[in-house]
Amino acid sequence: MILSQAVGNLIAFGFYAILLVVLAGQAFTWNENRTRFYLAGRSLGLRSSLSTFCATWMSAASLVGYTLWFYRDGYVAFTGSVNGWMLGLLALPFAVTRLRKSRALSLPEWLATEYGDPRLRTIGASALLLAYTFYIVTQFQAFGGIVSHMLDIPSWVASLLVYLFVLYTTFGGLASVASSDEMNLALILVGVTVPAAYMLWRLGTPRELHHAFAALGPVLMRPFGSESPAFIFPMMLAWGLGVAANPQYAIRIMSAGSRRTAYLMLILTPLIVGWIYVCLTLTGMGGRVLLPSLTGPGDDAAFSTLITAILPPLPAMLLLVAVLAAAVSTANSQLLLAACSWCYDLPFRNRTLHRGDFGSEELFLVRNRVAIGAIASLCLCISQFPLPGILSLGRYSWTVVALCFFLPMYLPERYRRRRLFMAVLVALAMHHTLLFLLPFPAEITMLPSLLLELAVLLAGPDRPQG
Amino acid sequence: METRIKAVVALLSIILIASLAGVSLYQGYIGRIEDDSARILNMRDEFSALDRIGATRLLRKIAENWTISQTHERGAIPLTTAAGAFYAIPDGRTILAAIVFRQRHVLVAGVIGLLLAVEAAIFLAWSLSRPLKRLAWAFEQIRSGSWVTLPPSRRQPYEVRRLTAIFNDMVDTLRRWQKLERQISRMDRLASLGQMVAGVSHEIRNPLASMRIHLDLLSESVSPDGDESLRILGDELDRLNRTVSQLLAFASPRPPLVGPIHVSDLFQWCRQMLHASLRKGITWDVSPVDDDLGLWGDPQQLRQMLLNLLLNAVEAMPHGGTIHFAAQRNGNGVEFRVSDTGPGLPDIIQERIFDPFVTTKADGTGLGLSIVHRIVELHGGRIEYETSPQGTTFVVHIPGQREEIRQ
Repeated sequence: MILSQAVGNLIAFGFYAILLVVLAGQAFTWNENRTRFYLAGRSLGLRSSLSTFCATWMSAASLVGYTLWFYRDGYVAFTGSVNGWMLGLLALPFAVTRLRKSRALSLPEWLATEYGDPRLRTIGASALLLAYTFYIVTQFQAFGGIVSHMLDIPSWVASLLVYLFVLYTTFGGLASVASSDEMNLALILVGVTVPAAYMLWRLGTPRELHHAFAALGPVLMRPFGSESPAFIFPMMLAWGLGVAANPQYAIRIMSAGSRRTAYLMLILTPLIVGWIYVCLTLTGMGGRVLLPSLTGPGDDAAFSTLITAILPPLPAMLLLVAVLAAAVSTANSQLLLAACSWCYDLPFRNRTLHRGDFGSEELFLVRNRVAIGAIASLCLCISQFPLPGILSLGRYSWTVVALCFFLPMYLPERYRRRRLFMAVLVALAMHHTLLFLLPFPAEITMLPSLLLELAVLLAGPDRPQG
Repeated sequence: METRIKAVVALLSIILIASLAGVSLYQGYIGRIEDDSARILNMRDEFSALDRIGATRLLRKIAENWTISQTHERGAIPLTTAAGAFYAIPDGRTILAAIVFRQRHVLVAGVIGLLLAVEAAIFLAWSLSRPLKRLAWAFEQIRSGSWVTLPPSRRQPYEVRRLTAIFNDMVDTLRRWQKLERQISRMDRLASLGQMVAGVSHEIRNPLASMRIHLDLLSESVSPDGDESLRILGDELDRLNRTVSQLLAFASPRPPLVGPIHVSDLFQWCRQMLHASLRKGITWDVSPVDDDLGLWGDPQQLRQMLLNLLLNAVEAMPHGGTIHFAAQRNGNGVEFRVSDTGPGLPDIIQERIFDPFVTTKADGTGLGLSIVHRIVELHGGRIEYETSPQGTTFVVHIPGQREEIRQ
């Protein structure tokens, strides 16, 4: 461990903490209500919408996972993940009109309203709560692992740091999350650009870097790597479907100030996230050229070894801050949605509360904050146990969400009268059965489950009216 | 408020953490330099036999972050070696970095402390701003016309409890004043209306009586073809006469002529009178009345009171519904209950429903409920109502035998 780098990392932490406290997030706004808390009053401008969309997109898990995957296996990482994610992004504009037409405050509520079945709200909220709990755990684990390795501090202390950052920004609801995400996106952009620029400064033009990378092995240049397309394509598709059906993005579409803002946000997002992926690709490529072999007990340790070995203190420190910003920006958004599912969507939580009355509304928001604290604390505890890798948990979360929301969000209007509940239930049951019985990853087992869901939906009768 | 409290707490935390960390690092640095200096001074004699390279190696062995130099700097320790005189100089930056790294847990704890302090500040701000927010909401409600009071809580701090109590007192006082103001205003209006109505009614009633007499006389001399016209004319004159009587009854009420009344007789009379007024689709639901149920009152006024309430219920249900009519002993008095299943009273007239000429009907006089209220007051009773989109219920309580009424 280079001492000056460790000192730099410590300064980075302090810098991020002070920046967050000074610039981001007000927890209890004077005129808050549940619409402001969940959807920022449906009034986010283009800058806020775009920032929160892109910052939420870049999670610590994907930032670390993609860079390492590219480092190890080359362009197959781009084919399998980035292509799929971008594919999902292409689908989102088709959901803008139908999502914004509704006055629902959450995606499960939208689902129940659109398909006229309150059970869909329960199953959607339960799936979302489960999926996002696991996903937040991955954020804590990814960040905790990297920082504990870089600073030589216990993993739980590092996770506790990100836990406090996340709590601080989430207590104020989506408006606070969005304002912190503006800062987080700026830090992510700087944090990935400087290491990429350093790689180019050290190893030459992108073409030269590419050639140097290609010289390390032809398998790195293959779009499917050493895997068969039959494995990579489903993975790509699954990631894409997960993005297209992700409630985080749906909520950002619903919270945009106007439909035009929502469309502009979706048009500009590929430019920003594309730039981030290009920078991460260059860093992964340069890392492989500079350090051809890498060992570590896990992704997080390997990543920290990689950046401390290949980057000078300042770029490494900025990349660490980018990982922290990515972890916070994704986890706070997911935490807010998980709390919303628990307090607003699950029916047994919402029985005695009425909208409009001061006491009830305030009590409702206090319950949300308690739920935020409780879910985050639970995730912090779970993250201290040995669990499957970051990508495995991420895949599981995305596939569950995709099964619940993808078809309902994109089916043509004429299928709105179909009995969706049974189709979703059957698909989830099949997905979990295949997942636990067969040695396939979640994205592979999701596809037949999704096909089954579609078949049940098309073959099933219309729901009764009235 | 939150931003200010957060800023103050964050600033204080940063100053505190920076001071503690600074002092800790400074002490660590000074301590390290002193320890290293002491070790070097203790072993200074061993440098005399060494050349520069050997001296450098020995120095690194004794004190990790010190270097050999020929130039004197602050804190340097002179050394005499076989190659000449040199100075042992501490590498301040490296030593400081090593100390920072060694004390990284303190610094991480400082960052955690900062975040905890700021999050505690947020909740402190919330606990301070919440009562103000609640008070602002209550004022907003009062401004928009709904009277609210704030529930007191023992868990609140004394200052907030006091503020809540003062606010509730203020609301009570304002309500009492408003009620009093309304009563005074109503009495003023009623007095002037009464004077005007009594004069006008008297002037109309005399010609009406004369017209009725002449109409009866005419009926004997008019051909049978004109009978129908005469009957209509007679009916209209009677209706006009009833309206004028109502106006007079309202304007110059006579004191009740109290006597014993059987409630069952009142019910029977109401049923007969209302029979013709019941439109198609209106169901009459009368609860059985005990034959012994009786009260002291003016039979004529009480009949008018009940008839007005029942007609009001009929008119509230233009598309049909059910009228529920009941009476029961309540304490030493009798409680009459008239309910309809109409759409309820509009919010805007609920406060003024017993004022004269207040009506929602295009052809109504707005006197029916006003007269009911007057009769109830004359009998020393009280009238209440409950209204909702599912219907309206009037509850009239006429007290039992009272000496002043009997006399």
